[in-house]
Amino acid sequence: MNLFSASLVVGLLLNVSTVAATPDYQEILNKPPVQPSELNTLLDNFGIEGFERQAMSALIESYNRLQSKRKECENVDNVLNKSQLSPLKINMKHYPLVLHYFDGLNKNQCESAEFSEFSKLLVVNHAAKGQHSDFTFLEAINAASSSRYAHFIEAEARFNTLPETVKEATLKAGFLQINFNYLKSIEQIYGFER
Amino acid sequence: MNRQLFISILFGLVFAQQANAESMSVDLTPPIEYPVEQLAPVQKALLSELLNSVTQLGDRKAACENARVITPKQLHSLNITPQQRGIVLSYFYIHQKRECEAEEYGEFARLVAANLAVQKQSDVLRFVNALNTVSSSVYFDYVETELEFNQLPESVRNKAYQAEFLQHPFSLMHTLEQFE
Repeated sequence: MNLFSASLVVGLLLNVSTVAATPDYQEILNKPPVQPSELNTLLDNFGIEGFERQAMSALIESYNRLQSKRKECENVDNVLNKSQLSPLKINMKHYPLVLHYFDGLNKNQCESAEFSEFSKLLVVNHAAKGQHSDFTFLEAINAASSSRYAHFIEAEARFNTLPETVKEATLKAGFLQINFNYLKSIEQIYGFER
Repeated sequence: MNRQLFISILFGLVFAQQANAESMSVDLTPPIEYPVEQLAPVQKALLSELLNSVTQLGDRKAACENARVITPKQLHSLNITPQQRGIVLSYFYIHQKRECEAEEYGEFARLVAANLAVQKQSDVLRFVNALNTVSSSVYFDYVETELEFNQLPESVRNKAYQAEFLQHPFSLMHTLEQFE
């Protein structure tokens, strides 16, 4: 290895160790809840002071509550099985779309209060910033929280392409409108091995 | 009272709130239109929902406007200083607005957040931001007003909370005009 290559490697290693020592906001957001010390570091790093700091703190605390609620909504005990779906007399090929759509609806409802609070705080923080401000952190925290609504719109659009008989039968099925554990239900219905 | 709040109130009175985002001008008099056809299906659906929500929020804001004036005599009964009076009136004014439009604003906020997360075109994002600035600035002012209100002596806050005339929507501008 020549001197140039060696210096590149050393530089790269130094860079990696620096990154590892100071986790960025994306890493912090990916591992909720954001701890109070992390919250202060984030606000300091972005130079957020005064009322903006108060509004941003409220947003991050709301983010923590939303993520915690999201986890709670995912980990429900209610698991659907094939015998519940059979009486609906719909082709099994439609099950994934149907379950995906109702799961989205149920999860929306489950986290409704927390997401409502989060989105209000997010848009207020957005509105408070000047046109040329740095929006990277707000964009990151929003992407981590709101993107699932885009997935739901897609699920809804696909559900709406299903035959009318399928839609009617499933919309009348009360058990589909009670929050269920999506992954375990899929496993149960399709008999996947763990 | 801070400048943004004053401007919001002024525009609220005539119900012609406007905001500028670069060259784009947004008039919050419903209905607001945008060429959504050019967008991909998910982006189109979310922006269309947002536009409907803006119309509903605009209608609600109009319905929440109230010309009721709080009289000097009523305010005198609180026995507070002119400076405290400004903070108390601002706080309850925004508080009542928030309560009145809570449902529509909640739906609007949900859709703004979703649009900011999924829209890809910069002009669409600017448009969404402009809509949001118009409707949400007053809520940021509330953070400041709430902080000022909470710094008032407890006796003042208690009297204000007990004053029945502060618990319903009123016209802040017309109320303040009496003291000019």
